[in-house]
Amino acid sequence: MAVCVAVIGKDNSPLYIGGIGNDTSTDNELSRQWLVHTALDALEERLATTNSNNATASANAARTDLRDLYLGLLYSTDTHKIYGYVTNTKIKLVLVTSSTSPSGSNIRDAEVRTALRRLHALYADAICNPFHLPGDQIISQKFDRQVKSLMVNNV
Amino acid sequence: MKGVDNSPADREGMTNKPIITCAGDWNLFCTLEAPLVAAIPQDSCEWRRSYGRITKFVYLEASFVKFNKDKNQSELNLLKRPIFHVYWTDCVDIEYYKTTLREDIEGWLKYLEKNNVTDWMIVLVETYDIRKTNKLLPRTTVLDKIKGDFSVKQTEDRFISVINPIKSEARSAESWRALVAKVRHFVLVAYNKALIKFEEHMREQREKRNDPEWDFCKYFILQEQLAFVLEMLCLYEEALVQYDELDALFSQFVLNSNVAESPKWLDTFKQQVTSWQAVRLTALVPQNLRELIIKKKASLLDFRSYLFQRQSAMLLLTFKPWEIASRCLTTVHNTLVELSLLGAQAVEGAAACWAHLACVETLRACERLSSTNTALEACTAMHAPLLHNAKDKLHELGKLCGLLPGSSDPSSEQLHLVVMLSAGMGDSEPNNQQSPTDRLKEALCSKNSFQQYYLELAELAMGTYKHIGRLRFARHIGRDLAAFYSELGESGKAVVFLTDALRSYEEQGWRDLAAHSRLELVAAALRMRDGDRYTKLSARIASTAELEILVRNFYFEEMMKSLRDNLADKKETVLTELNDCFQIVSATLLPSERDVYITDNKIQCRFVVESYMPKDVNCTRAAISVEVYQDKQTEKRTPVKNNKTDLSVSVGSQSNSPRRSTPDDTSENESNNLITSIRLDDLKPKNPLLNPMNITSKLHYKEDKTLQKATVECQNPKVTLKRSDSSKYRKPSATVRNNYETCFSADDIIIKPGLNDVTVEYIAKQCGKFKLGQISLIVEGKLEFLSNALVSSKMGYEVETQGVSVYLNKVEAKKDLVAGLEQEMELVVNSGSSKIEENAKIELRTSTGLHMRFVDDQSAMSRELSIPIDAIGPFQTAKIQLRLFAILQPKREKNIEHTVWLTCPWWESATEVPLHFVPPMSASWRLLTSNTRKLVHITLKSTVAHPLQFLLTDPSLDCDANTNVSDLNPKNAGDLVVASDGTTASFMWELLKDPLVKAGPMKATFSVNYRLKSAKEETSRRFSCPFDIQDYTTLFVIRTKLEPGKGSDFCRASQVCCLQLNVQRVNETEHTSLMYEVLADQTMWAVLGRTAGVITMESNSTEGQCVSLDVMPLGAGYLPLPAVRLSKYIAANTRDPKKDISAHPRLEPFSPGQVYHAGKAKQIHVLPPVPKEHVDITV
Repeated sequence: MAVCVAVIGKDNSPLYIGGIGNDTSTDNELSRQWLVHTALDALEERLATTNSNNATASANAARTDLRDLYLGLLYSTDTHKIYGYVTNTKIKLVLVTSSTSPSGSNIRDAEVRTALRRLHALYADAICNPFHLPGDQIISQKFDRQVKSLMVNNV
Repeated sequence: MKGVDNSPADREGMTNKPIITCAGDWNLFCTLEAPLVAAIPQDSCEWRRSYGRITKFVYLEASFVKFNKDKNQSELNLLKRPIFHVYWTDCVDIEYYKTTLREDIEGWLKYLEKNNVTDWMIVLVETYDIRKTNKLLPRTTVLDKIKGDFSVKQTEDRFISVINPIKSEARSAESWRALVAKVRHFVLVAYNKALIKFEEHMREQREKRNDPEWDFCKYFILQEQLAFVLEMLCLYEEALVQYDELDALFSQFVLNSNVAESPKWLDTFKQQVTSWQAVRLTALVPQNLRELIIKKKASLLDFRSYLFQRQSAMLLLTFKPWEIASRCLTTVHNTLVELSLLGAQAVEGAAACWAHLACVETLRACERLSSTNTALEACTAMHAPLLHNAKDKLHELGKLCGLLPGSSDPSSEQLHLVVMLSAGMGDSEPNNQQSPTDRLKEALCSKNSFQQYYLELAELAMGTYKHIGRLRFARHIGRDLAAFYSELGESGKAVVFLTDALRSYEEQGWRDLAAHSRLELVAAALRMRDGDRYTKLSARIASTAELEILVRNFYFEEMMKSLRDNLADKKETVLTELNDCFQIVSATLLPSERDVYITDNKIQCRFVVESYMPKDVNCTRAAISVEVYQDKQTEKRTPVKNNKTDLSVSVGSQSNSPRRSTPDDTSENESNNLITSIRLDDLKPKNPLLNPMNITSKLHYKEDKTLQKATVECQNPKVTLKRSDSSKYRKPSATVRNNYETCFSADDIIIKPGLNDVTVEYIAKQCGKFKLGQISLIVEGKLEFLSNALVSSKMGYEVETQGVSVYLNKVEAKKDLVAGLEQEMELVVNSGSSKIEENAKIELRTSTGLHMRFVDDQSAMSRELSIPIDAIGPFQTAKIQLRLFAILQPKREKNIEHTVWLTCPWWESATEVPLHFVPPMSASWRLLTSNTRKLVHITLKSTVAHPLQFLLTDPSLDCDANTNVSDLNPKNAGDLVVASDGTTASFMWELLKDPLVKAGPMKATFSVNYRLKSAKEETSRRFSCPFDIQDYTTLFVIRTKLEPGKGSDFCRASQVCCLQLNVQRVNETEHTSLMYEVLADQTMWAVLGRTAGVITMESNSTEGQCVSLDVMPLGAGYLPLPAVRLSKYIAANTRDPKKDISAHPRLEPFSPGQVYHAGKAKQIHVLPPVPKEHVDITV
């Protein structure tokens, strides 16, 4: 089960952070934000290596386009696993699963990938709102609801 | 499968070698064993495998044992089972073979066959005999015999003869090499078979994994054999795969146990954990742990340790230390999860101990291994998370054992725990180095050593994170460190870390994190008793929307309390950033009543500020500092002096002295406009995403005009996709307090949460251009919020001193000033923004010919006037009526220029006011001649533009004494009128000249009295106009007469007539030689013959000279006579060339009055020409 989902903008500022789960002293909204925030380091590292790899294999430039948006497990802690995904416009999607919960510990990579793809689709829908200014925080309640249900049901 | 042989070879782990049995002549083999064992690993051999697996080149080793019929090994024990069988013999005697050896071999082979062993070889060792070489080979050798007896087609190559290398090394090399190669080959072939069989078995076993009886430990040991064999064959990657499969299998079981019923064997791992020894990352097999697994006594930690060590061993053998490091964390995390899932009992902290040690051991192993740079680089990236985890676990332990700073001394339970944990870690390694276990034990012993170790790890982790560029992780550790230091009482250090973290969160918009960091900072400030900081942070926290309102209210009260308690006795205010708690939304300079801002007047500025505070705050003073606006372009421009004002409207000069040097307004406005109103949102750069995209749809056609595709194309992708500057719009931070000596200000304002209108005001003292600077809000008198939001904007105003202005105006602006009349003017004094004091006087001085006086003062006019000005307040005007009179000079000028100099007490120098007068009228004269009589005709007309009428009286013409004039003007005709509407007045006098006096140039002056017709003014003034008359005496009179031609009585057209020209001298003159010219109108007259001639007048004769000319009238009617021009003829001076320049004769005209042309206006009646034929007919 995903406990937290974050959409982070191009400039690394959070556009949306949604978390579910009971808040305890060690596992709460804030602690999840720390996780997401530090995950950015790993995410950027991953992006940098992907890019440099592509650069070295520049002969195969087309590969850049085909690059998988899903970045896989960014890092893990005792209690959480953090997965990353980056859109072509450098919007970063981060998904945190709890490894202590029964459903979270048994999660498969493919499930996370699917969930992040769906999140990407939700995000794309959300910013299609003509009144939404790209780069602003996403305050859409519908988006929030959809993301929350995604966290509960799909992951 | 029966258990572990405790042979020393097994202890070393790596010494599993393929076992090859030797039958036959053991003694013979013993002589060959050593070179054989040495030779086998020397070269690689290609290993072809079935099922399409990749062929590999592997290096083999072998250990030989004596063939033992009784020792039957299961073919499922890969390790202990002999893999290959060799029969050794050196028999050369065929007879012996037939009798003994053959039987032996047969028995051996049968045994093998019975056991399904097909991997065997028979080696015949021959001794090379030099003597035999030259002889023919024996027809049949023992080998041939053996082959003949036992060989079938597939096994032909399993019979080998080899020359004993011990006895003749040189000759044996080739055969020996062949033998070794064969051995290698067959061993691999044997392994291939064995592994296939084994894998099949293994699969079978694995399929049974859901049987209740199935045991993971058993299976583990089984599959591990495969790993061992692969390891033995140096296929470490494949060996690792076996371990990874086992790992995954186990993990899956544990995870499933959580949701489904757990199998029985899993209970093994639920047993209490009693040992949490550090993993030892060597290539050796940790036999003690393996034994525990076999005996089913391994705890989860034991098992995990074993597995991790084996995996690491494989990675170590392939020199991938970084891989170990990356796997370590996963293992540690998984293990901890598994521990909790399985619910294995353990001393609290055991897991943390194990995890910590695993991390640190991994680090140590990596350091040991990564000798090369690239490996080191790869490792370092992995080090940081390991260090991080080790640090976290240490912290956890410290917390458990009461070793954290700030906690009370460890209780007895905690001390007991330390003992328990230390015991569980096991003994230290035998070597002298300090192992991680020792270090951890030491750290757990005392607070000091704990602290030292913790800080060491934390700093190292942070440094490593920074090194690999993971700054967020580094800051995260920084926060942990900050918390630790805070507990240590070193809040100063904590603040450094927290501030750093805070800044980065702020920069990237992580407001929640920033808010949380601030809460930590405020706590640190409280501990440090830093009142300033505490107050500032409290204010900031109170304004943080992300936090709970209760928290905000609490800190709001804290801020107020701190302001009262801590800062009350401070002199200076505490400065802080305004944007933290408030936001300036907009600012407007209110326009003044007069369009410009005037000194000593109030200027108001209203700004809208949004307060984020949860409650009302009392702003004791709101202020905006004022800065002098630096006009960058003033230096370059040259001031234009514009004293000349349009005189038709106003006479005078604009007066404010400071403005005098400033350039004119228009250019000013272009270059530097100061804005008076601003919304702060406008300052932010426009979001490029809001720009419309220029998108068009296009249809693309193929060559055959069918539609290929329809596209939507963006025409300006570069504009839209342009990278936005990475430097975001950052709020300017005000850290330095500006100078508030001159500032807008307002006192005691209550600022409510939300939007507030604040109006501040300022009385301008100085003039010039100013811009708004820093905004300051002082809350409760002590906490001062500063914002530079307006500084970058060009918001400002211009203050002018509207100084005293003095104008000398015409009362009726549209009328010209007329000289010779008293003109009314007024002196207008405008006090501007300043007051005019009592007893101020303006001195007026005029140029010569201009006089003035006050209107109501009948005193004489003077050229100097001192005008007292009454005291007036600002923006008032005083007017003083004056009368000016410009004396009319007897000159014929069109304009009369005068100047008035104003000397005012408030200006340093006198101001020059040019005045422009026009004369009231002008006179023109003409000299008229009638024979010798001379008449002067004078015409007067007005030159004034505006309507004006003058009545004229007493005209007179005064001449020199020699000349008298006779007045021909009517005496009783009343006053003549001259008006500016074009009415003129004419006067006529006859010059009565004494004929005896030689006429010289004559001066005459016309004068007349005039007065305005409209005014009742009775004083008439005299207008006079002088003129000179020269050469006015009539010298010659020309008379012309036209006579009809001979024989006719009338002049007829086209008939030649005679023009009689008579020139008569009437006065004395020296000009005797004259030229006449007949200037006939060519349309009327044709002059026949000469038209000009020279005549000489006798000086003493009054008789006229007569000339007759033939002329012919060209038309009929009354024709004017041809005009005659008379000129002075000056003959060519041939005698004295010096006297006269010209050698040619020349003409000089006479003055108009000197020649009187008597026939000028005469006309002659010319009849039409006689129509002859007609006459003839009629007559």
